[in-house]
Amino acid sequence: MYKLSVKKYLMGTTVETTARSTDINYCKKALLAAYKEMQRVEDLLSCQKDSSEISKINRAAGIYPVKVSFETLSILKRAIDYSKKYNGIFDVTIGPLSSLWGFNEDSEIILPENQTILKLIRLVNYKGIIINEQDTSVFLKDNGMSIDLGGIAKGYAIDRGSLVLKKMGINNFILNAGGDIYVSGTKDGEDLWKVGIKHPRNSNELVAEFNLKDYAVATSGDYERFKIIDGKRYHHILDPRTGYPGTLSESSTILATTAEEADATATYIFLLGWKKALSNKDIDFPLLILAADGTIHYNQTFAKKYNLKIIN
Amino acid sequence: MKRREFLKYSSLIIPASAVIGTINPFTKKIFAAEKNNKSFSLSVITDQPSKTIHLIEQAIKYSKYGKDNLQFTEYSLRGGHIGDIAYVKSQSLIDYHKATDEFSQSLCESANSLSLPKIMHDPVMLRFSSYQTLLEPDKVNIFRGDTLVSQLSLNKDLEHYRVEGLKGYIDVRVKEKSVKIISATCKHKTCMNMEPISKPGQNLICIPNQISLTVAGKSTSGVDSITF
Repeated sequence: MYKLSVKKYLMGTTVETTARSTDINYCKKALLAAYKEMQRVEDLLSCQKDSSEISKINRAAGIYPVKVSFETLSILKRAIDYSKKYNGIFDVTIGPLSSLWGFNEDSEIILPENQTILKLIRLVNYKGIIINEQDTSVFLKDNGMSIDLGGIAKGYAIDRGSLVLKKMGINNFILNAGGDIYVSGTKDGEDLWKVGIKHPRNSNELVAEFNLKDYAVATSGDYERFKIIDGKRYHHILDPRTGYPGTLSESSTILATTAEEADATATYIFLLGWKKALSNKDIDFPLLILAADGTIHYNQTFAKKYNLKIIN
Repeated sequence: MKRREFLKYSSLIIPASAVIGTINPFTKKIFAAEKNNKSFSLSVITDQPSKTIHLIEQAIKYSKYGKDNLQFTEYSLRGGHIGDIAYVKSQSLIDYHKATDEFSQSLCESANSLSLPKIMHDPVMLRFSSYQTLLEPDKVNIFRGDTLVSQLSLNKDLEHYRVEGLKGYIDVRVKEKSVKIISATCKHKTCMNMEPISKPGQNLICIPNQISLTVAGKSTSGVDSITF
């Protein structure tokens, strides 16, 4: 049995898959098909690509509805559901603020004027996405609104890539796209795959490790895209309620059945903070949060079911 | 990559950076493999990857090594290279042309079938290994997109090394066995904020330039993958 690793630059990050197979050429074929699928998803949903359906919707904001594919419509509906479920703390219309801060683009990071933030925050409201299921069109109510699926698109791409691998008979793999992971099957027929959580303030260390099988994990952290301005850390996880980067967490790690759900929920939990996340009985995801003061918080679901081991 | 560099690279048994980690039970198997003299690695620069994989798979299958717990990785290379096979056994480079064992003879036949060695353009490097022995990382692999464009030694301090990217360049510095991006032509400079990396599997990425740096070597963290 071979253990193959294939790495590809996709979605602005390194996507790395390790898979077990008896046939290298076939497994390579499956991995390349999975990457092709992930590339297709990126082309469809990235707001950084002018040709994507999301960019077309954004350009027509406040002007006219845009007919989109059933797939885009479906993911937008789910994105709206996440936004509702998470009370707007996760909001896919965060686009105007994302563009202003510029962490997702190649632009110089400067602290925006507070007045500009207050002006743009009015455009952040998922309720302004008007979906017409009859003609599969999407309309953004106000001029200047924009959708940014950054909080779930990577997760969705991972789910699609994983599905391709499974359909092609590759059932034992670990697919990691820039820290968001789907784990399938086992490492060697017996042992489970083991995943580590990177320490937010010491990249050479892990916070914890745990075992996973047929499950996804995503982490939102303030340390991948950030800038220190006047001694204060500004990063890419923006709070739709304030327009500023969230301040309650250094990182949040969530386990879920799909990478899409893990991705969206990790952003929400990061912004919600550990106190509310752990006291809310409706939140039943296994989760681990590093609070802004560096303390580690996790729930028993995580500890018991996934063999969580705290390292640092 | 010049032939001498390729052979030197291979004889150091530097594992491909894309492979992440092994857990303890596997490590035990590694030691067991070493004891049984079944540890080896094969690095091949080729312009016929599918055919090469098939030939090497067959050679391994019928060898004493067998095909259990073998690692495989593949990188694209850029420019002119000399295609060849490097066979390393117990950390020594074996001249398979002269060796008389069955596996070496299979490799000879594979090399003949692939017309190796020969000069080729934009080939791939394939790596088959029974384990990853190098515990101390000593190389950083530099990729532009999916192509391996350069390798730097972590054992030698380097004040400044420029890597051309999609929109400009980045400059990296190697100091005290770690590597850091010290300047970049991108606007947001996020890559420069990242801490220096020194452990196998760690990455630095400049998104606008599509450049990534990965420390090669066997992951010592004991995990298969890292979420961040």
